[in-house]
Amino acid sequence: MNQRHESPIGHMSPGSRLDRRTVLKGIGLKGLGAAIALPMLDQMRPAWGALAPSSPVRLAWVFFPNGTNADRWIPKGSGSDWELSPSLEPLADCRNDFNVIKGLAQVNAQSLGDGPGDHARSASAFLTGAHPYKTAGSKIRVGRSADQIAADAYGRGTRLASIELGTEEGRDAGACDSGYSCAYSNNISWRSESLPTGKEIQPKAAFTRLFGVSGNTDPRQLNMKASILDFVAEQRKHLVDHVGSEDSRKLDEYFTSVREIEQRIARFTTPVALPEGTQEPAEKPSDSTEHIRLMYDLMVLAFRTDTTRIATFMLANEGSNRAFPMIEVKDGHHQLSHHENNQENIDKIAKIDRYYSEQFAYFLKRMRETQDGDGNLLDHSLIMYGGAITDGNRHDHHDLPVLLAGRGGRGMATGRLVEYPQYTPLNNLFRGMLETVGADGGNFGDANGIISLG
Amino acid sequence: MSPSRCTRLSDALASDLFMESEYDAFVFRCALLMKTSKSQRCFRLNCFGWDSKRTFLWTLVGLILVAQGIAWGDPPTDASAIDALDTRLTTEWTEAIQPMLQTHCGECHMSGATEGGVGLDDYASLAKIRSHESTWEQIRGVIRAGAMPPPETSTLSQQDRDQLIDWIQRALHDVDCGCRPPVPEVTIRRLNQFEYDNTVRDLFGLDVRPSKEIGFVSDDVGNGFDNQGEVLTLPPIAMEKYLQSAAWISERVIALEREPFRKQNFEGDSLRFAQQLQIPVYVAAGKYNVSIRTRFGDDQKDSCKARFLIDGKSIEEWEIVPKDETAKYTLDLEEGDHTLAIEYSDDSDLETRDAPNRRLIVHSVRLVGPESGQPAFPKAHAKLVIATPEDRDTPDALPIGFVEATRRVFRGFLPRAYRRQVTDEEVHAVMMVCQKAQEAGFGYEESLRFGLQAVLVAPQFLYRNETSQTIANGGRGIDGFAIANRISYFLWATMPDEELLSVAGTGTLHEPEVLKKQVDRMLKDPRADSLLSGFFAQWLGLRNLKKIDVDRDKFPFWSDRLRDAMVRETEMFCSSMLREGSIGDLLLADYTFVNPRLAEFYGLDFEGQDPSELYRRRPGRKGNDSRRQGTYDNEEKWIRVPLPENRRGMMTQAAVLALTSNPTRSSPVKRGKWILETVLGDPPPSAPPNVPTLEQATAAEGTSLRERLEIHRANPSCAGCHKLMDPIGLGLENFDAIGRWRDHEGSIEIDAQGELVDGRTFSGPRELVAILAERQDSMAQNFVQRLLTYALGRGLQRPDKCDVDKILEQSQSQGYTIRSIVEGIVLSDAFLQRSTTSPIEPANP
Repeated sequence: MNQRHESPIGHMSPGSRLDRRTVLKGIGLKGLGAAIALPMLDQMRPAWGALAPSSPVRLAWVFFPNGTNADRWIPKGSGSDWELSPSLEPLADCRNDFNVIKGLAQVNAQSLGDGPGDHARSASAFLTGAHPYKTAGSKIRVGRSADQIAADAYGRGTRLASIELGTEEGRDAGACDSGYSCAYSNNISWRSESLPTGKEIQPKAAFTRLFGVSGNTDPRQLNMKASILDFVAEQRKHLVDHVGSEDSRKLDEYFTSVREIEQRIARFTTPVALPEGTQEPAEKPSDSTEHIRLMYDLMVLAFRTDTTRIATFMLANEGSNRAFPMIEVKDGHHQLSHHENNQENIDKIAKIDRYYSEQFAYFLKRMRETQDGDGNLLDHSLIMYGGAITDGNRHDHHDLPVLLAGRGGRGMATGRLVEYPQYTPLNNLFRGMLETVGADGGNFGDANGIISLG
Repeated sequence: MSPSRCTRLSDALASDLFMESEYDAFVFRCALLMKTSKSQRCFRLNCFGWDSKRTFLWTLVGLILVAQGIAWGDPPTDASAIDALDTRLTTEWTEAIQPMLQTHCGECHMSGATEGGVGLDDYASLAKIRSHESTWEQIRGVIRAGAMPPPETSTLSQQDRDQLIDWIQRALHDVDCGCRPPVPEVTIRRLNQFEYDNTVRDLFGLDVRPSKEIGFVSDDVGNGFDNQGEVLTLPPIAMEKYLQSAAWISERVIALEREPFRKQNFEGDSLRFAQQLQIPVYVAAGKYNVSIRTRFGDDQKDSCKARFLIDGKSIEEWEIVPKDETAKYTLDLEEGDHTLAIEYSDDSDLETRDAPNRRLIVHSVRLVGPESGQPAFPKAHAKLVIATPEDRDTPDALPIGFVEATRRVFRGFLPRAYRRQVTDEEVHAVMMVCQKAQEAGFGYEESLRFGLQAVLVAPQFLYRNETSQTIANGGRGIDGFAIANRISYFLWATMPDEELLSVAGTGTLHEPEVLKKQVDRMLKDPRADSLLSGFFAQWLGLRNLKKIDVDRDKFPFWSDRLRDAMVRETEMFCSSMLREGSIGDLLLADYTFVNPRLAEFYGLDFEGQDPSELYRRRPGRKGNDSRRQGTYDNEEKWIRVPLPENRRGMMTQAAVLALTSNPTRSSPVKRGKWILETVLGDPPPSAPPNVPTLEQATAAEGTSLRERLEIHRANPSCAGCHKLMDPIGLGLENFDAIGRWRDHEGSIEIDAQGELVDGRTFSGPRELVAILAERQDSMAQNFVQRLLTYALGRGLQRPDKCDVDKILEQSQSQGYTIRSIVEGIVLSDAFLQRSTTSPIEPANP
């Protein structure tokens, strides 16, 4: 049963997998939530009446790994009366372009009886709200992610239904995290419950994929492309002896991908008109900062040209041990995140958080500077920024660091600090985001209600 | 309890009693065992959901069994397998294990309590326990390490503890090989990037790496490797890349026009002294003109000499001056492959010949011809396009025409591309693509390009699809071509070569002697080096070395060049192990491979030169250049050298030591964990959630790492696991975060003494390695398990233990040579058979 608008939280659905402790906490706070509840949603109501959107809504999710120094990340205050926290200070210029949302949780990132592996679970639960099946290789399974639900319902009208970006290779060695396949730590976007969407980490390859500079638009060539896809779609019968259930699933994956590309080719035959002066990114970015910014640039460009309306970006893979020499943090991020409350380590974590905020501020400013319809891109976007671990030392998955930037094409009020009762599923927020583009995720993952966004 | 299984069994029984399929053969074998042991030793009663039509067949089974003198008790109603082992385990669980868990763990982990996310209530059957293997491994680990039950309050006796550990171990891993269940299912495997590139290389003879060129999305890793069927997914983005890649390849393989006279231009290079630019060419027989455009360095006043070589034979040496000049030669070349080479062969100025601006610049090389003789297409084209529409079978016959020409091309090509025999229908489908292209107005070669693109994105090319067949002993084998593929992708990470396919064609490839001969041949082939980057690098985690961000202020010697050299060293070492080494040598070898950079790093002489002299400072630069940013003399030269006294085997190699460090310091915990996990296959349990790993929080400035670890171990719940890891890692503390030897860390002298958890003591890395090497059996077992996982492309399951044990037994008698392990894997049932759980279909005609 879903509740919307009237109450900020729904109740736990009977089938949700929560350990006893969590449920108790949830209930306790739910009571509390109900007592203080109502005004919260109003905070997100439009600042001025509903507007007819002059431009399509774009959705994006930006993910950072390893948790935060929560004390310096999560701001204090409420409503419009709040202070930017030290880690969010770089966003001061954009303060009125986003909301900070407190109290959300991704409980399926918890162990729930599966022992260690919070990093793998955190990435894979982040956008799915589902509990990943613990496996090093066989039968990987988690759930569909919010962006792919949006892509199916809303992404069909654009050249690419969605784009998935990252900065770190997934190719790795050894186990990624305590018996979980690396597929879990390296992907937030899941096309189906067993199929990670994959992500592009090279700016140049991403550019080519988005804007198809190499794409041939000669109709004869395009026809042949279609003939080739017709040919492969017919090949299943020649795959001798592969009729086991896992084989079928694998082959379904292949033929589904073929079909999706067939449909796309049939619909989009003209190249994207890029703004004047657009340059193709170089083969290899010179450093991490440039790499991240190039990826943000690509998102802006993709949104601006309406090449896609849905994007996800993993700033780094979950559990990443990247160092940040440009801000004098030479230890690995993951290593530092187990800070043991050592002040020096905690300070360094805050520095990394702040660094990521700076890059995000760069993105928001570029979105804001880009005209779109009767406003700018940010007016017509909803960009969720966060992770599914709050503090890397505790590996907790509630009270998550979450920002929601943009006004979603409906003049949603921004510049607020909004607080939901502890353990409100993050998926409820995703449902709200999906709703703005007419996609209905239902109670996907562990959603038990919806946070409606104005 | 799946209906399909029941159907299959009864179908098989209905046909040719017992010997028709593997499954009934299995039942039969077990029935015989039951007869001999006069007990219900092992009988799988998985299938009691039969429909009424089948009932009589089961009655038939019953009658036969009864006729064989076997008492058949009430069939169990669940799907659990019943064999002697499971019965014993179940009894022990009920009588001893479960009560023990209740007493010692119940308060926090049972009756609804799930402290630390672990609840033990739901484990009512062996099957359930086995399906949560990683959880139970963790439980076993913490009990064994003494971390659980909490040591402060625990009353669990050592005897009970041992019993618990032993029971979990047996429940998870033991299997009764006498009535071993069928080999687990192997999922159809997509070629990973590495295999794809190699296959394209060998299919066309083209030295290209499309995955890098196009920018494929990374393959996910499962079970520690990137070749595991189930995680090799194929989302739409991957399909897009395959399409792009197919188009790219087809343009490189098929030339559009016959050129009567070809000009081949090759890019030049800037050569250092003694360096060579090599250009592989494929030519028709005839006379050729070669033009080489060169210049000597920037701002040079004098000259140097260059040599022109063909296939390693010197043709001419001439002088190169500091301005652009073109040298021309005329050559007669035989048809086939040749290598043209240009070498910076002589320099009068010995002092400065390595100066950065003293380079032989080869702008371009051009090969024109042949002046007489037949025009040649590029090699890859010639190999593929074996027919054209204008061909005539006899001088009087009509041209064969477009359709027949495409048939001949793809009849010849498809079996290689699909790596198995193909049907006419499959060939026809590709011909149709070509025909559509022709109808759209494309020429013959262009049409072939489209046909080729279709093949390169077909599932038969992108996946490894196998034909299985019922084999002699009633098992389910794979056919010769499938075996050829499995061996080839295992040992070479690429498609089978002509010889392997021709042996496969004779139908003898499943015979042990034939297999052994092939393995022997294939290991000698350079393609077996794929095991270095494919298997060894992933097993040891070498790929992670690219991701570590060493603090370059603290470790100025660290550079990308040094890192690459470290990886190369370990790979060369593994290559030598693969061909002539053993498990013991991996740990204890007294030699390694170095280039001048690594020789200086290790403090070793390099061909008689003192390490301190190996790095030549760049001319004109003052100071010591401690970062070693320039190159060394002969940087590319690698030699085998004896190790210094303090190093032995791979555990003391720089790559391993750097890999197991943090960016700013060495990490004894990581090193201990790495050795337990990667080398001995005995990983310590993971740190419980919310328990921090080691850091300096509790210690004052100036405390040594050893002391800090001791403080950490004072916490009893940390102590259990850390006493397994820390002593090992502390024994390697003489190696810093990049693997360099040190006697001090800061002002603190390194103390590399220690005592392992079993009480053995050591002093220094060499003694530590020697003690660890006593556990050769564990190491061999771990190695076999990892290599088998890589070979099969799937995680190992319980029934695989039978194969692992068999491989180990055979290899032990040969001193655990790596070669004998590889051979054992290729000969194992798991490798040569298919899952028996997929329905039986007629083999490909």
